[in-house]
Amino acid sequence: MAGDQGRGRCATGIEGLDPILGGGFPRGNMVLVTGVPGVGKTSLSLEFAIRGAAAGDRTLYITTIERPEKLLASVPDFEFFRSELIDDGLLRFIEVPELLELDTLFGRPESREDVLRFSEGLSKYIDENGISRLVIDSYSAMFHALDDRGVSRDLLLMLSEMMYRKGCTAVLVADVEPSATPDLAVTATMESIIADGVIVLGNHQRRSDLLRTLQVLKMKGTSHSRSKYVIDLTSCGILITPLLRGGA
Amino acid sequence: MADVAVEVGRRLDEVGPSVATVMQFPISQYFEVLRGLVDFTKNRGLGMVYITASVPAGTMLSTFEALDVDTANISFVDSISQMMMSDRDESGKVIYVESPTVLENIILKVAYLMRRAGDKKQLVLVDSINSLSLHNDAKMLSEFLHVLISSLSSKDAYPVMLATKESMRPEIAEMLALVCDQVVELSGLE
Repeated sequence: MAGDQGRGRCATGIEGLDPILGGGFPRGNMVLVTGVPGVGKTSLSLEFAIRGAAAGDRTLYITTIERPEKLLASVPDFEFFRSELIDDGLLRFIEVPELLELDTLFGRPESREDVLRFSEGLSKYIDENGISRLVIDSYSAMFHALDDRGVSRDLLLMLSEMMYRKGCTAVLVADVEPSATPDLAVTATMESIIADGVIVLGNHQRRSDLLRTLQVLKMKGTSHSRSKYVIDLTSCGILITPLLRGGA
Repeated sequence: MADVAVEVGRRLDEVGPSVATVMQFPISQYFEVLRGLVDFTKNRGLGMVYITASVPAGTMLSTFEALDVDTANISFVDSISQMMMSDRDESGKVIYVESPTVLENIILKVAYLMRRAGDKKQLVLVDSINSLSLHNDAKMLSEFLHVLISSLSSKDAYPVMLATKESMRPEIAEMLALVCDQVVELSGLE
């Protein structure tokens, strides 16, 4: 715990989130951002990346589903995004094959050896480029070609150790099946046990209204709120306000 | 007797920003109160975020135009049009919320407009408490106002809530007195 405190905080830059986290993620932590499709996981991850780069952190965003240009075009036009961040090398978008250093059928790891190669490639990339902030979007989609689910957990353990050692703060996007009960689906996974932090994005049904929500379920080394918050995805970034209880 | 519009500005001037103010008045004075608030923002170089829960923003804009009221500094958060399936206003001055029951989204849209406004100070108008109380119970409404007022006060905004006397339920009046900093009675003015 003392070591974590000594490492300081990696401010997400997301205005309402940092106060919930006591100033940001503990630096060198690996945080799982999870939820069903359409709740804002990519928007949150992109804002974390862009605001980090704008604050001077060398940031790497690894896309596993969409091409980087499509990813950037699919999110709101963030007013805080500046193309100089990319031009100056502070913000980098790459796809998995660039780290695998070989062609695979789907551009994703297809064997345990590929996963090891990915881990080594990432470690080298972080060292060579001074990366201190990382996003993998989506982590769970990287393993669609693998039958052995244990491989994703092994990589998670390797990443957790790597991030801590290098003082690099990581956000891993993990998808949850739309049919799953989000909280149960997350707490039951080995991934959420291994990760240092878990943020669940979801939907809250109130009568006929559907609200987008955010809840920090876990954040090691942090005294944080575990309440549910309502979020809005805007061109100014993610906005957050408490979920009203109405005395309930 | 004092003029209603002048009195509105005078009472807001007395307390300054960050003071949650309920304006209570007979429905016959509705437009005079609005004129007073618009004049107040104009004279002090403020912007206005107008939360409408009773009349669609498009209708309000047409009404202001008919009354020759300049709306250049006003942005709307419209919580009623989508629920009533009314036409959308395309002027770019209106942000829509699904219904008056999604109070959190109203807070978030206000926060968004405040951010877009940058350093320019804002008067945030809730029109009206009576309408919101039709769709929400008193506990939910008091929590909404508490969160909204807290966030506005920290930004030096003027939080103003409109309440018409004729349709005010006792529990709502009691809640407003608890949650807000001052209740201004505008009855008896012209």
